[in-house]
Amino acid sequence: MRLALPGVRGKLLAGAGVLALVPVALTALLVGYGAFDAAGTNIEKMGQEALVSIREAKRQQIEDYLNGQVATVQALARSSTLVAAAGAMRKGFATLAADSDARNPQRAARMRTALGEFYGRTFTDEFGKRNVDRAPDLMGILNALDPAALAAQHLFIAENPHPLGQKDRLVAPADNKSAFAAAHAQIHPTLETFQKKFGFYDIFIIDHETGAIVYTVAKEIDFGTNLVNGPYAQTGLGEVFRKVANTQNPNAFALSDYATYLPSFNDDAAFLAVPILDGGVQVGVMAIQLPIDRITSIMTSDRKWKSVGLGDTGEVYLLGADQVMRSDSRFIAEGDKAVVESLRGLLSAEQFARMTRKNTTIGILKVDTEASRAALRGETGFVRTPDYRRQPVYSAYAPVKVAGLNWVILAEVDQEEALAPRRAVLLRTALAGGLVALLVIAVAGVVVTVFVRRFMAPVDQLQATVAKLADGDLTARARVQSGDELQQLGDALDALVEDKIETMAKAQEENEQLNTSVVSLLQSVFQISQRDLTVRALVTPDIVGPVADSVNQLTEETSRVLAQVTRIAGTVGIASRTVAEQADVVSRTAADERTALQAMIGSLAQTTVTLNRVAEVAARSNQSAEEATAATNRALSTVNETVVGMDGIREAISDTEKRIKRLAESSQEITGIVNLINTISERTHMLALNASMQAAMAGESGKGFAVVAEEVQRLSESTRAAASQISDLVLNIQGETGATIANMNRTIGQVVAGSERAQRAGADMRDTQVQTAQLVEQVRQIAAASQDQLKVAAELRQRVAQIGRGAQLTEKRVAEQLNEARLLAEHARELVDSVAVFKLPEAA
Amino acid sequence: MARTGTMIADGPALARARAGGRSDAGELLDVDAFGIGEWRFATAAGAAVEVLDPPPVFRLPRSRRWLSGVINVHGAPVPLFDPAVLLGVRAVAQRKVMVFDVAGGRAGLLVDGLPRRLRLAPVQAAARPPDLPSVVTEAIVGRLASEPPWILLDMPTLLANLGRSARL
Repeated sequence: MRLALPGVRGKLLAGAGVLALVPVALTALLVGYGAFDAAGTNIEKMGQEALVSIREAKRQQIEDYLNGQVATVQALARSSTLVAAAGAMRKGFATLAADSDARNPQRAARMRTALGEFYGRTFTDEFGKRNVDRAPDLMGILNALDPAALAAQHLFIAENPHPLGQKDRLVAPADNKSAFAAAHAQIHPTLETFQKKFGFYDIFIIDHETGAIVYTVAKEIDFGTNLVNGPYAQTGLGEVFRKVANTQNPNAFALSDYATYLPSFNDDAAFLAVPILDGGVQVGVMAIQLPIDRITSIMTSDRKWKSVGLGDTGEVYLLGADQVMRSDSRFIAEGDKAVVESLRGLLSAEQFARMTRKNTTIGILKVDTEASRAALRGETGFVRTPDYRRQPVYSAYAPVKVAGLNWVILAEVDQEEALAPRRAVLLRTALAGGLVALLVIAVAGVVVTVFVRRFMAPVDQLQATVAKLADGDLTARARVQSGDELQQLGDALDALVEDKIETMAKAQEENEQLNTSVVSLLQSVFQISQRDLTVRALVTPDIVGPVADSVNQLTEETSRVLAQVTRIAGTVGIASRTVAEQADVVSRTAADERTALQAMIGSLAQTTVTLNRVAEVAARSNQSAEEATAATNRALSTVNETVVGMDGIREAISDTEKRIKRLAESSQEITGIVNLINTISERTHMLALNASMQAAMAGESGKGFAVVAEEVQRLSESTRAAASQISDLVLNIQGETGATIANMNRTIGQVVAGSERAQRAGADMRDTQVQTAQLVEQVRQIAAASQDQLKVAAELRQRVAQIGRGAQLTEKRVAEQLNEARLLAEHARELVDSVAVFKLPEAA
Repeated sequence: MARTGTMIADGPALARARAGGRSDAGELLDVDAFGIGEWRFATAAGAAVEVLDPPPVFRLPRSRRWLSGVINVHGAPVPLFDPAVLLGVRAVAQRKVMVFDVAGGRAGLLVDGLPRRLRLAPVQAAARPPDLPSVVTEAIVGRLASEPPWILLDMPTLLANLGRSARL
């Protein structure tokens, strides 16, 4: 399908639109890109700064929290309550075994049985609920408890009427008057208040000398055990205890990292221990179990991530030196199943089960990323890296150096969310730019439309005028009044139309005149082609005029030549007829001569006989001599007549030869004229060829002229053919004339020879006549001279016979001459007939 | 003269020749026939625009001998080719100059005598004459049904070939 080309209006609209839109688009793009780039950079920078701020805030919170815990514990440890409690609990614990009769095997067995119920059912059930693996050998632990521990746990756990998790509610065991129970009842309310007020998971008082845990608030199964050689000596609690067990430094403290802790059902637990000094003398060790929930609460901002600016994917978490999490993953805390499933491949089956069971990543999930490694190297920074979910995040990392811990803190947010504001800016920029562009386009469209409409009005006027002119309305005029170049164009168009109409009228008139000239010339050429050479073409002043003039010149030349040919042919005919008549006369004369010669030969034979008989009939010599004289006279007369006839033949032939030579000269003239005709014919032919080529180039208007050129070409070819025919005829005539002249010359030679021989025969005759006369007188001498006479007679007969043969040859040549003369006359007649087909002017 | 050689299959060129001579396939074709030595050639009528007596020729340097030079045709310089030199034959009649329209102007060709306007039926050429140079055989588009046969040439092709090969 062919698409319609846009009009000027469309091009103007398109061009103006492009002129309006391109700068707007470029400006919008440049401004938009600049704004977007600057905004994006700022947004990214702001996001980074926000993330760093959150990281620093959380780090500060953690450090404050831990330092606060240390300060609090140190303050508590310095209080008189703790000093007194430590002394009382140590003292009571030292006598507890005895006070409880725990060293009694039966009593101890009963205690273990009672505790076994707790260990084997209550604790184990809870342990099973919180863990996926089975609990360790609790009975072994139970059986290994020393009597004091056994008594303490029996008293405050097994005999504690409060359920698991609320064992702290027991202040004073009933029916127990031991110093330990009394001391516990005295200090427990205060310490429980401390525990709840300060948010500790548990508070421990440990005998710094023995390592025995003489007091706990929570009363878990670590209560009463020994941290030097007991089952929990190698826990975090045992570790921090040992660090401060023998110190006089009131500012000393030890803090363990989070690790699973069996008494707390293998939950992660961290411990902080400080010495309890009384006047510079250590009286015990105070330890607290830090609640993991508090740290998690700090790091998760109480699960209000959005309110602290972490959006939908931001989180802050802690890692230990082992790169394992010390605070919960936000996504696990939120129960993001996709993230949970994505971690399946990163964890062992046991770890994954533990994570899902406890719904925590603390102590389970190891985060080995670029950020975590850098932070553990002690670096602080910001990086874009895949996180533990393998999702690209912006990560602000820093080490956390507090209370001897080697932790790191990472504040991270998904890159997609971090860049969301940038995309929003892009969208807003694009929308704003688009709205501005639309507004500019609308304004530009209105302006361009008004401009194009005003500009195109005269163009439409011109287009309508041209359309009318194309439809044949030659009265249509533009008459544009716009006062600009378009008005000049309209005026030029009007002037052009006026001029074109005038030119067309003039061309039509010239064409009609040319057609008239062509028709007239065609008529003349047609008449000429009918061999009427009296016709003359009308010479017009147009382009046909030279052709007509050339045709006329050709016709006149042809007429003149043909007339001359006709005249020459007539002359040739007349000459030929004269030659024929003369040849006829010569022939008849030759026949007569031959008859006379035959008669002479007969007479000579008879003379010879007579001479022969002379010798025999001498008596009749006189009579015979008279008869011989008479015969000799007749022979002499015949010879004379023959000589005269020969002379006549020679004159006639000579005359004929002259005429034929003149004919040959005329033929040469004809050849010159024919060459002239050929030259004219060739020029006419070339003129006609060029005319036909020009007519072909002129196209449709040259067709009539092409017909004329073709007729002229044919006429020239006819002329050339006629000239060629004439030339051939002239050549034939010249050939025949030459042959005739040659024959004539030969005939003349023969006639001259015959004439000479006849003259010699006449002379011989006259000698014979004299001798015959003498014969009469010398008849008597005949006998004697008869032999000589016979010889002479024989010689005479031979010569006469020779004359006879010459006469016969002459007759034959004359007959040939006669035939050639008749042939020449026939050619002349044919030439006349050939020329006669042309109708020639009278003057020619 | 023996006519042997490769087959010619130039239907479109013959069609152009027919179109130039204003003749449909199977009809008679108007041609301008001319001789060069013993060779007989023809071209579609309308190809030639003028026939002239040979004017003075201005020889061009560094050109082949069959490029006679440049002639003045109505004030315009026109290259003149002499195919008799190219074909190695001697002219047998008084030379004439046929002028043809070619791309970019006109070109002249020296021929023997005046060309003849004939009307004959064109037929496909049976074979390229082997004793003609390639610049000529490439321009052969057929022959005319006559005895002896006239070789029908596509004159623009011939003159273009001559023009391309004329420079030494």
